[in-house]
Amino acid sequence: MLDRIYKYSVAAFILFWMLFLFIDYWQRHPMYANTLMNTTHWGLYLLLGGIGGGIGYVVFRLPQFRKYIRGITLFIFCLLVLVICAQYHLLTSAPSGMGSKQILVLFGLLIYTSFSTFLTIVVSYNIGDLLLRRLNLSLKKLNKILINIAIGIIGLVGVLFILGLFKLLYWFTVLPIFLIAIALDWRSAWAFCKQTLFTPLKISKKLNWVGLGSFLLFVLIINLNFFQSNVPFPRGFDSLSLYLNLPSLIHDYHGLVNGYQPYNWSIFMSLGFVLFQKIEVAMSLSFLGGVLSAIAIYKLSRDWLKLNTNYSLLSACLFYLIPSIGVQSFLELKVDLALLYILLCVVILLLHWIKLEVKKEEDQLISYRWGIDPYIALMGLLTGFAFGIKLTTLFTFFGILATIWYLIKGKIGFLALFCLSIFAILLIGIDRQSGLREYHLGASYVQWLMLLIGTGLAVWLIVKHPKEAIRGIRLSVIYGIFFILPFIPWLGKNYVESGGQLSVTTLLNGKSNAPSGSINTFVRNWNNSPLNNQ
Amino acid sequence: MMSSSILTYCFSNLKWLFIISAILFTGILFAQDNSTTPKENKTVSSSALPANVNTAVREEIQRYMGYEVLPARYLSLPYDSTMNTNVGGNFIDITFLLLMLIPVFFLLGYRENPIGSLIFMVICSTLFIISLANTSIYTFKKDGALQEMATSQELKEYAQATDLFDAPSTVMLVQIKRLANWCYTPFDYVFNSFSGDRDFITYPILLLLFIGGFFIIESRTKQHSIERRALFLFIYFYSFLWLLLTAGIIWYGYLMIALGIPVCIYPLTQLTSKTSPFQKGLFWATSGILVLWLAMMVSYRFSNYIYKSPNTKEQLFDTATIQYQTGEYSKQDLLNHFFPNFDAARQLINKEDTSLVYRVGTVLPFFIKKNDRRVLIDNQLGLFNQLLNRYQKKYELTMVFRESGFRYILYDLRTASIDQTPEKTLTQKNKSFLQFLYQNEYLELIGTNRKIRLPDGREDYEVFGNEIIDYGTFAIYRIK
Repeated sequence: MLDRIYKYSVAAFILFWMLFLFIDYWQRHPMYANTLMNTTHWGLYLLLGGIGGGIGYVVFRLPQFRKYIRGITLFIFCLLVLVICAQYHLLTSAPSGMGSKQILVLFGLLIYTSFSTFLTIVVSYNIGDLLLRRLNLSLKKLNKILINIAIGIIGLVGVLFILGLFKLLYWFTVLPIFLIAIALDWRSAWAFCKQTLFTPLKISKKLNWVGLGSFLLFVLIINLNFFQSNVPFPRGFDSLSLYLNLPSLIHDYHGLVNGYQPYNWSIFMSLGFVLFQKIEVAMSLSFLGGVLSAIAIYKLSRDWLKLNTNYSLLSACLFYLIPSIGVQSFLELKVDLALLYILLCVVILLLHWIKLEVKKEEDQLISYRWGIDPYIALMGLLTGFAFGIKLTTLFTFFGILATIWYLIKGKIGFLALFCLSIFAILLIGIDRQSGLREYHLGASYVQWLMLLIGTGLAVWLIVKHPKEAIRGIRLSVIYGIFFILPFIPWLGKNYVESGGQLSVTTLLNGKSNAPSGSINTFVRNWNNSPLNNQ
Repeated sequence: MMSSSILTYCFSNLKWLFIISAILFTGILFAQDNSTTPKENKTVSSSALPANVNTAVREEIQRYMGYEVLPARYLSLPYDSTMNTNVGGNFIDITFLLLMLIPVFFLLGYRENPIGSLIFMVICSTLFIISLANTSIYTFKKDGALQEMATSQELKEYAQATDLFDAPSTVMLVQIKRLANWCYTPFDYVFNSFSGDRDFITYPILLLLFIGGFFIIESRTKQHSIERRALFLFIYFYSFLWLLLTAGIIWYGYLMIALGIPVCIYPLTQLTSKTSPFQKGLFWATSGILVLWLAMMVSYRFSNYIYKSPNTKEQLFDTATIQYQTGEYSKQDLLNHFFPNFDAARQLINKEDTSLVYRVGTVLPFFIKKNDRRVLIDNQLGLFNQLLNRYQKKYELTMVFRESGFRYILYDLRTASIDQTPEKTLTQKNKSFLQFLYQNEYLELIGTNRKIRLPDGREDYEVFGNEIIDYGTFAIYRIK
């Protein structure tokens, strides 16, 4: 009887929960339903659906033609789809469609932007490959590509940072870096190009219409977003105010800009201006973060939750269709999706590390050079780089530490780190950034209580399980050191800029060249003015 | 059997009771020190705001979180972020899928643990009540105007005046909101007794909830592999820090969304192999909702993320953008298209690169040379307000700017539109700023895209006038 009541109450709860949230969301976002109900794109949908159906037919029924499905054919196909969409739009909303000359100009722009972006990816991949080759990481193919690119971007940004310090960011200084990066191992670069452009895509035997439909929809939306990010200036407030403004200023000054929080990804985006002389490429490098993130989500779905290809593709597609992500992909071209990509790479490495840890418990043979676990070191390096994109990366930093301790000593390890993290957060005053600290009158008491509990749990761990605790401390220290490494150049720059000040604010923000916004300055200037004394 | 489960559950976690009690004790201990009365806290006036509150941060950043009583501000954040109750717009919409599916699938795996399941349902229901009671419901009146309903009286009036078949979804939401308002009464009493706009208890409550949630997730995911569990806990901790520290800014929490999507999909794959009719039904219902959502998102994307009137649905792209991409338009043409009447002002400002520019909102500084050295940002008019308190005369205030090297003012005509604060501080500052601009003979308007009707009936680009035809986005002044 009780069991029955329980089952019915759970069912009722689930039904209510789903129904209410669905209706509530619908009610609060009427524009989605309105666009669906009032759409006049049926002709275009039919055409694109027909093309998708044709591809499906080839994939499922004509396996002999699968060999033509490659990166390069996909790219050509995307260009054609874009022309169809643009032509459809012009014919329905403008006086006339595109002529052949205009189509060629359009192709020229899109090919130039995509080629420049791809070249940057190849260079990043090659740098990453060169740096990681000796580590012999046991990563799967796609994971390796994602990690190589991320590490390569760190290397590339590092070099650009140094050039920027000395105001040497010109096309003729950056181009040799690209050439050297490729020449150092042109075979690897060529293999990457071959793999991504010319090798037939590996199609899973389990692929069905859910997977293929998701993939095609994903490609279509990428296509539209890429197309619309090929404009001479972005439309978003934050990108115009900051994220694209910085690369533009870097280009103007041929060097780093004083002030601002660390801006690793803006340095990367400045390649668009400095090397390729086109803002569209800079915006494409921002757009790139979203695409790489979606690929990383696909891979994590496969490796972490063991979803099959179809559901993994659906996950990536759903993510990319979220309006907030869409806005960032073509309107507000910021750095958040790039940050997400780097953080997802950290999660991929964390997952591999956990798998190895589990193996290690069964077989204690794994040992590393100088005792430094390369996965932990790379996680630290990537997290540190991400910290130089946005300071909110600290959430990931604490999350990774807590997860490491959970792996080492279960619940107590996790909670000890949780308490110590909250202590550190309150001590540094991260909640002050969003102005929330002022509302919490007892924050300092909570801070010290957290230190007390955290230390108590940590001491208990050390006393009861010294071996595991020492290992946890060692891993945390390695992670922490590698986390700091990519951030040190920023600390140095900001320290010099601020004339040797050692406060947290100046070390994080440097000293801006902006006019002073202090009321005292205004008052002083006015008091000294002859107009005031008239 | 059930009672023994409860006992086992409690005793197995006895060691944690110490930690939980300690945090709760600290919270309650200091809560009693809170001298503000519930009545004072209920309506926040600007005088009730602590002196150290940064109003610019409060106006700009905290609007995503809302301004209700402090504990509810945090506890309703998952709901607020999903439904965009505090700030609307596609740029912060993360869909309802995460909030809808994760608790449901979390619950489905609890078949063998009724106590855990009940606790989980109680927690979800409580958060739901707190969230819903602190938000409004919107509907369109017959004349097309937007109607907001928040208080019990407004809801009651609507429910009495509207037939269920006229607006089934709204009537249903209204009735549920009325129920939530009623259920919220004890929470309201507790929150207003111990909290308000500032308190001692919110941090301890949140930390306790986190620890409680940690044990629930730990127990719920026991059958999963260690890598899954570890990453579940990682997401959980990350999400908690997002909730605690970011004031609800969604892009700071993209990682939890990115990892949350596959977590939503995962149980769906498990349901396919189940035979229970309820689970089959759930699978198809979820799939149906997913397909419907996908269809809405695709059509929305194909409308270029715009829905103003049925006419715009054909605007898959911005025509001027394609004209630029096909070589018909230059960059300059496109600039004029998006920011009409800006170019002349831009050229004037860029004639030299030493004069300073005072900026209130607007994206236009991007087009100004050396803007990092020339532009002073005062988006929420904090500096202006300070100066105004000192220099009330228009001449004096204008010359204060001039004598500090400022020659131009860039002003966002929609500056006050982001103001969600109960005190309407930004609206007040904006009003003062407009008064400063109005008929200021020491300023010269050199560009705006606001269109007004002049007294003689002609249309012109001006900031002030009889009738606004196009509200516009910017105004640029030169200090004479």
